[in-house]
Amino acid sequence: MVRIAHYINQFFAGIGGEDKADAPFEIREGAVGPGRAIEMELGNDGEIVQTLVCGDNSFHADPDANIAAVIAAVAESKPDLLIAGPAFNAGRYGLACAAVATAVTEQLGIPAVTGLFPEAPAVDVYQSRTVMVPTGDSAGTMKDAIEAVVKVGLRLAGGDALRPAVEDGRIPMGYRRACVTDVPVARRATDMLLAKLGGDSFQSEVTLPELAEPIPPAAAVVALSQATIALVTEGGLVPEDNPDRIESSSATKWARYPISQLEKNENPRFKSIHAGYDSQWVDADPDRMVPLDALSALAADGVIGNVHEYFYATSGTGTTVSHAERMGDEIAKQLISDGVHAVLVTST
Amino acid sequence: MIEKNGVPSVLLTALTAMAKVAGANRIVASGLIPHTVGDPTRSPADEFIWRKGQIQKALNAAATPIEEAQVFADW
Repeated sequence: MVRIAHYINQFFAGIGGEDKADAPFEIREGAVGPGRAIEMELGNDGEIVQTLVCGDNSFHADPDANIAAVIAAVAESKPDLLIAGPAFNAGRYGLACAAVATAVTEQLGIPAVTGLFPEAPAVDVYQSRTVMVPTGDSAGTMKDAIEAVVKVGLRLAGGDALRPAVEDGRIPMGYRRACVTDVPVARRATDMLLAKLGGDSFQSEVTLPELAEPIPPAAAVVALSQATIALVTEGGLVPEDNPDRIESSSATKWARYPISQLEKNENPRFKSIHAGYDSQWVDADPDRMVPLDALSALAADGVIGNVHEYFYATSGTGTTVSHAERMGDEIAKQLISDGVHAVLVTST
Repeated sequence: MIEKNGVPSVLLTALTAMAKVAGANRIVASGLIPHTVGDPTRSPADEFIWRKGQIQKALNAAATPIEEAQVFADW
């Protein structure tokens, strides 16, 4: 019977949604929330002895302390395996799961596994350090995700070595392990060359990584005191009736609004329609996401030339890379034609 | 992408690790997720002063020549 510790966030623990993202770290006995489904999948092969819960925001407010708390709990309960999530495409939750899984293996030597959508932010940050199983992009795919996580988790707990990612059903960690084959390399290479020349399909043994090309930093602003500075945000701050219908999640649209309107913040009032964070503080004072008051004061002080007359907004949760790149490009072209010298972007 | 078009951009965020992975070049660590340039634990007057300081840091970053991605620490 494999003994398992399970890490989840405030939402999956049933504490609350975004409003409870500051829920502090806590330890619960046995399975909670999706942990019950994990136990059903395990059957007699395993049980969840301990569930570790932490709010998505409280985790990131002090990751060191929260990871230390996880390590202390797991060091005491001594499970055979830790499962984190699955977190699907969640940004903060995914990062927390990957960080916890990584720490438990690196610090205690206990195998760990998490489930993430391959485009989730946590994958790029942690994929070489912890075992990840690919999942769909939402909790709607929970059943399949649990099946996949349990399958890999049990193998890890049983001490089995990792097989090639494709065989294991894992997100590749980016390293190769030497193995013995009975086909000499000369043969494999010529077979591949003949296939390539003949227009047949072939599988490269070495996969070339798809790295985003780093963007060279743009030249620094030269005369700040004469520069026009624009404010851009992915915090989803829009007029309260959302006239441009910017999506709360997986946004494909952006819009710009006059800063004079934001300054007045009355008819319309501005609020956030971003589905990925608790917007109560920003709704109470939009300057907390689009710092118009501060930038205007600095313009009055002569630190900058002036504040650009529009601010730009979209929602940055679950936004695909391709849409984000397109929107950034479109916004950039507009800013350039308006003579903006530099941009301050606020991100949640 | 704004940067790719040649306009210097400074990203203010609480999640600097993610910012680096996403390709931002000038990154200023600021605030907490639900209020990147807000601090509701301060009085409104103090919060404004704090925010002005964060924006000044961001402007300094915009005016600083750099060769590669950088998280701008406290000045």
